[in-house]
Amino acid sequence: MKPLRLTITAAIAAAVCMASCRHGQDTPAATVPALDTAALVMAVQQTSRLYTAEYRVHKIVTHADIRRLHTTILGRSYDMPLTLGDRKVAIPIDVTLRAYVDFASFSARQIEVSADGTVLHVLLPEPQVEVTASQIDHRATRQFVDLLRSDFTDAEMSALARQGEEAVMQAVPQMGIMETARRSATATLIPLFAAMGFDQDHVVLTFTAAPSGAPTRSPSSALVPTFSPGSEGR
Amino acid sequence: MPHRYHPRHTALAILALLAAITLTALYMRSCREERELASMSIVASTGIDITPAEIRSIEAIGQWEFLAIACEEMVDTIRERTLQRDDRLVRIYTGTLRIGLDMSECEEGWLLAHGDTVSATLPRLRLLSERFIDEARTRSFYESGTWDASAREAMYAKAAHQMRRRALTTDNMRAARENARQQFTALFRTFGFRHVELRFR
Repeated sequence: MKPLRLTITAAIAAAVCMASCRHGQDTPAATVPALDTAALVMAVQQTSRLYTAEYRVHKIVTHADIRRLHTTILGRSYDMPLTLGDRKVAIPIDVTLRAYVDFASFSARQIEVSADGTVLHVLLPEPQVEVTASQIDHRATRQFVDLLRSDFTDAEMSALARQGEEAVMQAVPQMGIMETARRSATATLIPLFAAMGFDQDHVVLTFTAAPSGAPTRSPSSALVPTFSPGSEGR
Repeated sequence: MPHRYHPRHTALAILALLAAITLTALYMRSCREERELASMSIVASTGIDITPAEIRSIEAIGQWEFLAIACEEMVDTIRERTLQRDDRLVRIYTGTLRIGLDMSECEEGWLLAHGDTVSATLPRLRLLSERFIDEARTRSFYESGTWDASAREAMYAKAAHQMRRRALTTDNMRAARENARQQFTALFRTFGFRHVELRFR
């Protein structure tokens, strides 16, 4: 009976060991991962935005996870690095930024035509910038992990990528995207107004920081009614 | 034998008393300032390093967006293992699909104005950009096991495919076209045109 009991115990122990050793590399028995999806949220919004500039920005997000022993004794703090081991990660990300002019609240109050009907002055809201897409280069992501530390988890890497994207957004004012957006909006809209019958040399676009719905100029009688389009489009 | 009084003992007693008073005072001060007398913790850095952002491309575009569909897609991948628990990775992707028209696709003479009438032939409405997933905003919901780059790429592709399938429906395209019609009509009316004729290629 004794050898049989020993054999059963050894078999159970081996099975437990194999089951607990989950975080290792793939075993030959591992199969191709199966993918499943589920939609969580979907929100549909009607908009009227003229996208005028697109910037693609590349950033290598780096992070050094150094652990420190923080001690407080009688109100005094002491910090010392732990020598358990460090972890470092570099995550390359590509962020797509787009600038747009919002026409959702555009109205006749933002158009002014000179008394003789030759000069058109259009007030447009300042372009706004948003992140429209981002992609992580997973193949180029590198981790450097000491023996005593565990790998970066998916959640940790996602949090770092999010911080990288926020850092890109903070750098927007230095990129000159607003100027590009204004120039491009002008290049798109002037031909449109010219096709409506205005002389393109007499169209003035002004970008204003005021909310697009606000009455930036008094809606006087010198507006649209005096306009007399008559020429053919381009 | 009678106990002899020794001056050294007195000095030691006074020193001990002073030490006790000092410690008590420090303790009471730390209590008053709501500080712990002593604490120990392991602190890990969570912030990213400061690295430059490199502009890879600048493009002047003229795309008019009329419908934005914000999606979240949960992608779940499982790798089956023999005699072990299966590996699993669940990520929630976020993306916004923008439907509109590209003004660069307007043909010559797309807009004709005569008197108080304007007639415009607009290009076909379409998905404005194939890059619509904000992967940096992806939330990792569950992870067990080790996953490589190819698994994450497959999940990204699957999420993009599913978002396109759910968002680019006939109803949404019709809604975008209707909104485009309303917006362009309002724009031309703003400029004094009473009659607006719009067509989509």
